Amino acid sequence: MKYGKRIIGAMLLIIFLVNITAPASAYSYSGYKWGGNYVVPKLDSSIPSSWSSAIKAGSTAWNNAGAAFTFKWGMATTTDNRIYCTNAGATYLGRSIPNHTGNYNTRYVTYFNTYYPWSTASSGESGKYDVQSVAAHEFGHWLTLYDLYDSGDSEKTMYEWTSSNEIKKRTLTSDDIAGINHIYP
Amino acid sequence: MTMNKNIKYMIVFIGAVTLIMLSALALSGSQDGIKLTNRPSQDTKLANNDMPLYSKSSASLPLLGSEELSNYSDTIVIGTVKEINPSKWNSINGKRPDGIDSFSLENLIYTDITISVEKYLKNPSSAKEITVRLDGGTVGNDTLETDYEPTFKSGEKVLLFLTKDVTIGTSNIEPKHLRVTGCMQGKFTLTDDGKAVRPDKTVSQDELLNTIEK
Repeated sequence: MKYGKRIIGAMLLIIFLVNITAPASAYSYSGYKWGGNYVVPKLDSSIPSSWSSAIKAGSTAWNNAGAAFTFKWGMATTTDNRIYCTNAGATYLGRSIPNHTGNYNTRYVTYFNTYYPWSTASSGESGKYDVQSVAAHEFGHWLTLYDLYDSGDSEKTMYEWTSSNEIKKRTLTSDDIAGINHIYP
Repeated sequence: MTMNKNIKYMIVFIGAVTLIMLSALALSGSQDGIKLTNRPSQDTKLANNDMPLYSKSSASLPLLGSEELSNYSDTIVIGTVKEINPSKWNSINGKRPDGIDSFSLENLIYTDITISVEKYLKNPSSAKEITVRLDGGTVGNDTLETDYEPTFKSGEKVLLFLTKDVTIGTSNIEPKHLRVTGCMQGKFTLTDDGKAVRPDKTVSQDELLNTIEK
């Protein structure tokens, strides 16, 4: 009986230690991925030409994350992975829709909502949403990372909510980088 | 006898430790169990029209305070969820159109929610019921999930910030309907103990109403 109590005590201690050391949701991976190690995005004609650099910079952040995956612009491809502008009213800022076969992505489309005011200024603009930040977030979805909702994740590119004049999502955090490196080591 | 008890405790102990370790692995976000291959080309063959379609659509949401939610909304109501209607494709017959092998803004599934209105807090109307349209749903074997829309339960008392549907895929499809302003941010569940609850936030109903009335 004496040993039994000790064992139960040890179990409780282990449960406590595991719970305090288990990592929070550093990133959220959907389980899907691209069949290859690159994807070719295209800009629809609905995207203002002045946004092109900012959107591409959003993908460059992921290209520089050290993973075996690249966004390749301008390559010939049969898959129409496209970025559009559309008016979706007072709803979302940007939205990505994947399509899958088995565990693999087959196609991604992203929409920027022109209902809201946007900026491509290098330091952001008051009252406007940053194209590059939202592009970086949406390209995170193309890598099949899901949104993060916890306020403790608010510095991460994959955090769900974006304020106007916020440019921090342009820069990946170590957890965003861990996410892409987990999917494409 | 004591020996037998100790053996039993040891077995329970080892089992518990194994379970704890497995739980910790799951919490860490490890997906190593999923087989991943590195193929040379990105051009994966698209699903044909007979194959079930599945997609989980994600979004970036603007961080909106109560005042911004009010300003962006065409109407604000308090009401009760009367019915969650069957989901439909945004086609003439509500089914997947021929030749469609992927979801997009032009080809998607939506779900209408019927709300019995108790009170209009902005732009009053004589309508006793309104329809709120959400992206996503299941039609046959096809499923479009969303992680940014609010969820509704039949009989739930709600306060809704609502905006006109201007999206190309669903705005022209009857019945007359509205969208939730700021997606999941525009829906609060009203509880009997005076709270207004959203997944990321709980405030008192009085506090929320005061913000709207300002």
